[in-house]
Amino acid sequence: MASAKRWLYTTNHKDIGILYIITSLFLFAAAGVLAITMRTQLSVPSNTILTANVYNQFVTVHGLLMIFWVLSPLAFGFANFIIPLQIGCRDLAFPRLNSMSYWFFLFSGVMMILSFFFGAAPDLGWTLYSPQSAAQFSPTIGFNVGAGALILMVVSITMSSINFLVTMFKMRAPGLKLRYMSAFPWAILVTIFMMLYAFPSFLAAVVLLYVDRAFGTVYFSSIQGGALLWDNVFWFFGHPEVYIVLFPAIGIIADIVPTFARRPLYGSKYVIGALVAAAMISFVVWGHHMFVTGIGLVSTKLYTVTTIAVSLPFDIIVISLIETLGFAKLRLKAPALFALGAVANFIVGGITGVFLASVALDYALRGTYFVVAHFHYIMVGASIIGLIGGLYYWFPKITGRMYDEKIAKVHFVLSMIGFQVLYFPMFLLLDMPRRIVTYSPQTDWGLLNLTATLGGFIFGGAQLLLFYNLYRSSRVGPPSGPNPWEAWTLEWALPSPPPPHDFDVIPTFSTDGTIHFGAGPGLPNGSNTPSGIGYPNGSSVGHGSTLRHSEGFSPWPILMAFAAFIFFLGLTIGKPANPQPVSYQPFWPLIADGIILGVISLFGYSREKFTVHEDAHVESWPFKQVPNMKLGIWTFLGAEVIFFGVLIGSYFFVRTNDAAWPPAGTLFDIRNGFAMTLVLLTSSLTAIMALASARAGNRSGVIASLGGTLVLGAAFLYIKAGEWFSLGSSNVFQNYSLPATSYFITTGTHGVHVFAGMCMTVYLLANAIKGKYINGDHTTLEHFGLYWHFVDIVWVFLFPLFYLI
Amino acid sequence: MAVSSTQVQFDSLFGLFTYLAVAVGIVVFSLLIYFIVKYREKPSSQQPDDTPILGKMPISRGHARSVVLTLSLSTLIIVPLIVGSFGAIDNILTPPQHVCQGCAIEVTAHQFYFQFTYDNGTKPYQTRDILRVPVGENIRLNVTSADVFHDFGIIGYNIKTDAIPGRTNTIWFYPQTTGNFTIQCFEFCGVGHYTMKGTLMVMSQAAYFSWYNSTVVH
Repeated sequence: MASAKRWLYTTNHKDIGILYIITSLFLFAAAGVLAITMRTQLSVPSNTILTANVYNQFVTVHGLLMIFWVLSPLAFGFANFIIPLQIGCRDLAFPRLNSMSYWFFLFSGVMMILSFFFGAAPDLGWTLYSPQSAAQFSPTIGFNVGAGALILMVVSITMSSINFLVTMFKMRAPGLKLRYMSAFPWAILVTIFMMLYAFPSFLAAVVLLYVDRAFGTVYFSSIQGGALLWDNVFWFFGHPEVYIVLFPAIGIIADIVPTFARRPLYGSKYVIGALVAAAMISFVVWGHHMFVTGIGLVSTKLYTVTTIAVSLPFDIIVISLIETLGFAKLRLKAPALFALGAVANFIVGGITGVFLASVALDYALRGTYFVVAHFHYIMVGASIIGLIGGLYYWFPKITGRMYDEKIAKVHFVLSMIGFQVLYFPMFLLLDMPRRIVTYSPQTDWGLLNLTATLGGFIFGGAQLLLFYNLYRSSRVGPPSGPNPWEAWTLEWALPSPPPPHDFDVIPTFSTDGTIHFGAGPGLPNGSNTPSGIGYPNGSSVGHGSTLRHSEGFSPWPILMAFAAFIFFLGLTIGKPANPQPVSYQPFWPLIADGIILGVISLFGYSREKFTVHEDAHVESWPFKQVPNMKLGIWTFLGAEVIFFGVLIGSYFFVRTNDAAWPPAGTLFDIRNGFAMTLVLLTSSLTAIMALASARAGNRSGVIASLGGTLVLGAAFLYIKAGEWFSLGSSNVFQNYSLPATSYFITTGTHGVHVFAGMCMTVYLLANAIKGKYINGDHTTLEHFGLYWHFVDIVWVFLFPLFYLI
Repeated sequence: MAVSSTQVQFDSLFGLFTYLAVAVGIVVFSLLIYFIVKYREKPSSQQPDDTPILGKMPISRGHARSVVLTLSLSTLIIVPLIVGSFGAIDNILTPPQHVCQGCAIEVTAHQFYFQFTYDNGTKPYQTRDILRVPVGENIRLNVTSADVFHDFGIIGYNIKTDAIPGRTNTIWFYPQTTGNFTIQCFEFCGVGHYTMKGTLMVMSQAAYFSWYNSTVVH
């Protein structure tokens, strides 16, 4: 029982890291079983093991699971466990939020797999191309449930990236400059930035698609939006996503290779610079996924250049890794083998990527197995193999035991051989289309496919050794000691496994990079180390420090995630009421349960006494002046900017593509828009007054201003609702024409934000009446103000876009 | 013997990429393997003098020289690739303005077949899944879709283009040998995607034009 409580209610970053790692390994196995079944189906021509219907579901869920529920979570399992240890803090900035991220992730994965049991999983390919994904072409509930799962997953990722960003910027051990961070934390930091800017675009795409499917709006089923709108919105996210799943593995490789070569990473600052450069370029290359859609000669040339140019930073990384080996004393243990194997695969995957970067070659290679081979060399060959290297590397730290080196080496050899036999033949299948369930015996694809399937079985079978090794060694492996690899990053200074609170004493870094624990340099018990170091949890240092964060259970994150899970399940598993026009009937009992449970857990969450210890003396460049919570909110608002940016961009896209758009002033009454603008801007003013009153200690002022904000928000929604209903019943908006689609979705999303702000106001008002916020504890009001002003600013953009032009 | 102009063009560009890729691959892999073999831990191995120890973060090492060299060499390699690609794409995206009568054909993708429309002067003539063209003439195809996102590709010709509802994409080629080739859809388009195939029949000019003239309704 105690143990169940530990895992269900934990907020400790190490426990959560372990949960992420184990969950993603299970899902790795599940998605792998799908893959091996597909490979079996493809081993010979005209095979009939799988029907086209089932194959399409397998191919879609395999891709979605591997990308969103295996690669990233496995990497962030390591990040959860290792990053706080590497930067010298006792937990992430928001431990309960971290727990919530995990449970949202778990339930989203459950939901994705559950879709198989509701009769139909998503069957669109992981790229979910429109208009195939529109309701009239894909009428099963498959992708509705899939959309629910993806939304939960994006929520998890957003919470998690905010958490890591605040932690890494604000909670580093004193003196730990960013430049002293090794490659892995750097790679995670860069990944987080990509996640923050890429995933809101994906969320917007999925939300738009879901609303199209459920309520019959036409963003993706119309000619003006349709295929190219989806392509743009999806691939703006999709290309950074490729690096999101790759970078953590590169970071791990660039930590492992120097450790086992016994030399520092060659050109580490250039490697980090290259990661940053590649991340930035990754946002301007999405057009290469649309080379053959007819986006025009100039665009294709531009994207050819940017895409080929993105290979340059990766050249620097690979060459630096190889140069690290020069004059080294390379210990070829399993982590090093996997890291170097990943580098080898990455070279092949990278070089073949340059082929696909050429628009001219893409006119031939698009949609073929050459593409499949290329991205599996990156995602499996570099990412998975690199992450497995990390698994062996940190296994002793996480479990305190050593894995079996012999089995690990056999695992390595079989994995590498199996991998090449599996994917190399696909480069030669450059005429075979992707995502076909079978092919004719008249083609000459049979032998290559059979070879690939053989490789698939070798590779898949090899992974059984990994599972066996991990399972058995975690029970009976010999104790590893704190630093079996003689590595030099901070996590290895702690016992294996580290105690719940990690550090008895928070280390400090002096300007030359020396780490100090407690009173000063020098090891406990007088043993001699050449440099000034003490062990953080040694017997004679850490005098009288208190153990923090060894408890820290909270039941609310898992409950909140569960509430969201059943809410979205209720929203998405309803059967179509009638096929045309599509209108899904949600399953109300589940929705109601979800809302009730959500409110209860929100209440419990906010009432729970859960103090997060913030150390006063931390390294927090460049955000020294900003408190953790505020930085978190700013980061969240940054993600919201992208989200609304995509909504507004989609509106522009369909509007400029539609010659018959009604002129300004004919659809919407400017007076309505003006009234709403006035009301909302005034509410910003009252929000400022609430904060000012709180600062002045004026309780009734706080109550009056908050009340005013609430009333003005309600007035805004009242006018908006009136407009919605009158427009909804008008001729113009029949069948959700594009003007109606863009209006309802954009202002509706904004309205939801206003409503959420009003809910916060009610909560603040209740507290203000009890006399809170006037004794210098007004930061909550300040944070609410940031959000509320943001929502108002969005309206300042929407008003002219819809009413004036 | 090449089957079409697009295949010739693809083969030469793909060849350029492959030569350079193999050359780069050999150099990089040789370096990697040489370093691993030479510097792996042996009884005779020298202890590196800069092995970092736990308790002191390593000082950044390495020369900007190496980065500059890497970038310069890489740039030397990618410039011909970009130039070659630009030449080829100019050609692909500049279809001939004038093709002979019966050599400009509309292609409409449906779930799950291709429909070909010949403008024969009086009434459009439509065929399904069989695209007849004459050898030794420039052929221009206007490709669109009637329902979802498809992709029209000719296996062996190394040319394809997306078929998107509401948009028309044009491709062209010059068939050099007669014979039958497989047309297939290269974008996932639903449950029948794998069955969405057609045949490109490259006929002798005499045979083609005699067929083409027979479709004219008088």
